[in-house]
Amino acid sequence: MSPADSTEDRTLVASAQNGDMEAFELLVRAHADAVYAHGLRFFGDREAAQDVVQEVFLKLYRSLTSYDGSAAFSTWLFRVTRNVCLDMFRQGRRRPVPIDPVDIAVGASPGVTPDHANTVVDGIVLEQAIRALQPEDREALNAVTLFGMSYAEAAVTLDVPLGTVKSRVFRARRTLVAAMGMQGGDVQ
Amino acid sequence: MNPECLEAQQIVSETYDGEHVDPAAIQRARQHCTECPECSVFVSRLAAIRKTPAPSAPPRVIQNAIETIRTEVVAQAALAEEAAAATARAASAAKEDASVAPRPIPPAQQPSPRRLTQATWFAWGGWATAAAVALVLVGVLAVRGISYIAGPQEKAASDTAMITQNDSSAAPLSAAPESADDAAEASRSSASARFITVGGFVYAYTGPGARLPSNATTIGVTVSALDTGSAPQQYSVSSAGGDNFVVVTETGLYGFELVARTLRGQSYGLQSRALSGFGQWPSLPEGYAEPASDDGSPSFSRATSDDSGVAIFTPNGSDPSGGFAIAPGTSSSDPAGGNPNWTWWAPLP
Repeated sequence: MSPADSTEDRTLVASAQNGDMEAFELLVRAHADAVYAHGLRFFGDREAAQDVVQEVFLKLYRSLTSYDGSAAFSTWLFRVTRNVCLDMFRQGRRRPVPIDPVDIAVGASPGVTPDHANTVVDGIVLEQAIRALQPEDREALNAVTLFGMSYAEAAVTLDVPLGTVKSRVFRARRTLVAAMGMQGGDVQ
Repeated sequence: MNPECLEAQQIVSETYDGEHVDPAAIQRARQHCTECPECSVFVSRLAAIRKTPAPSAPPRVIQNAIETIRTEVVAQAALAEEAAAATARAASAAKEDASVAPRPIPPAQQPSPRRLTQATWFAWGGWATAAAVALVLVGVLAVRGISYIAGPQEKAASDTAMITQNDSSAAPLSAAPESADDAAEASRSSASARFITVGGFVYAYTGPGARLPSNATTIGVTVSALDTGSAPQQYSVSSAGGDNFVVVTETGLYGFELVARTLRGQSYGLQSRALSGFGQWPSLPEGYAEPASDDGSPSFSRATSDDSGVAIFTPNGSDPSGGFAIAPGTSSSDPAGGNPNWTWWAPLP
């Protein structure tokens, strides 16, 4: 996430804190994809991911007053998203759909062009490979790639040393690259 | 793997993430990757992975999230407005009916300043309002006294004919026959959330009421969609004194009971932001920020535990007698069981 995005987020949060519902809606629209993707990668289930989106933004709205801007909005958002997923799991409200790393299926959607099909297949394979990552590696990767956090921000949020974040992200990437290679060569 | 390859790949990975890497190191890695077949493949695959879009939220999901928040905003505003109106009506009635003397509230039982800021029900000052507040409290207390959930043990010991959530005679709102699908639906957490708020306190649905007793009196209003799935509406809430339920009229009769728990012999009622319909779980009242972590921070600190081992949280770890918070994840037998949100419990007079 760029500094400009971060500044815009802070402006929107400030407006939302003053009761501007439209500003909060803009925040929802801007960040729903990251929350949804994190939920989907955590649970492997679209319905659960939808619940995550709903619950995360409701919690954010209810705790707007507690946000003091000391951390980037994306950092706050990631923390809430992570907690919501963990809470849903701990409380037994949602269970991650099991995935077998060996069974990363490939299947193109019917009726699409070859190029589009390739893109769809790549996306499916990649998401299944991400789901098959070690949870701590996946979490670090999501923090950095979905929520745009720096390694330092991720280290603080995940409460691990900076070097651990570096290792986890790199390990995740190497695993994904290897998984994509197993699917028949380069992803293109 | 060759340490040089490992270092080069790590530098490429960090550079992709916008991390600061020494330019000379980047140059070395770039040079290595052009010469090393394995690292060249790594870079090309990594580039392909980066180009593959992450899952995006369907527009319907985003819209649903926004609608949920809008509903909460509207419901809160409507509840505040209607509660204020009801208070004014009660004040007016108190003036006109000299036979209905408001029961004085001992100072120790008056709402705390914190509750004054949360519950617009109590938000007005002045003698007339004090009388109105007393009337409302008398009504609520009359209901509470006969129907609050004091905990599993006390509930079991009760010999009153309370309508409870476990009462088999309390048919579900949708009188569909039991089936596997019903069971699956029942297991969905939001389906079991059937609550309304009255005066900031939370009441749990206990079942349909057969009829409104002739001695029932209106004690307040609630704004809720109940189970209708339509927009929240205002319904009057009545108490029949000796009967064990609060009734919401006009769309049928719905029985409710106050959600409460005990701590050190004192009863505490569950408070929440306005609930705009069934399917919503009670949450922290206005003025309490949702904790960011399981330990309650930054809003709360763990103060103690109750007899069941449920952790009690308070602002700054203060004495829980003024009210306390409970983290989500309590057992199903707990009054907060199943609720995914933090909850706030205020002392009952």
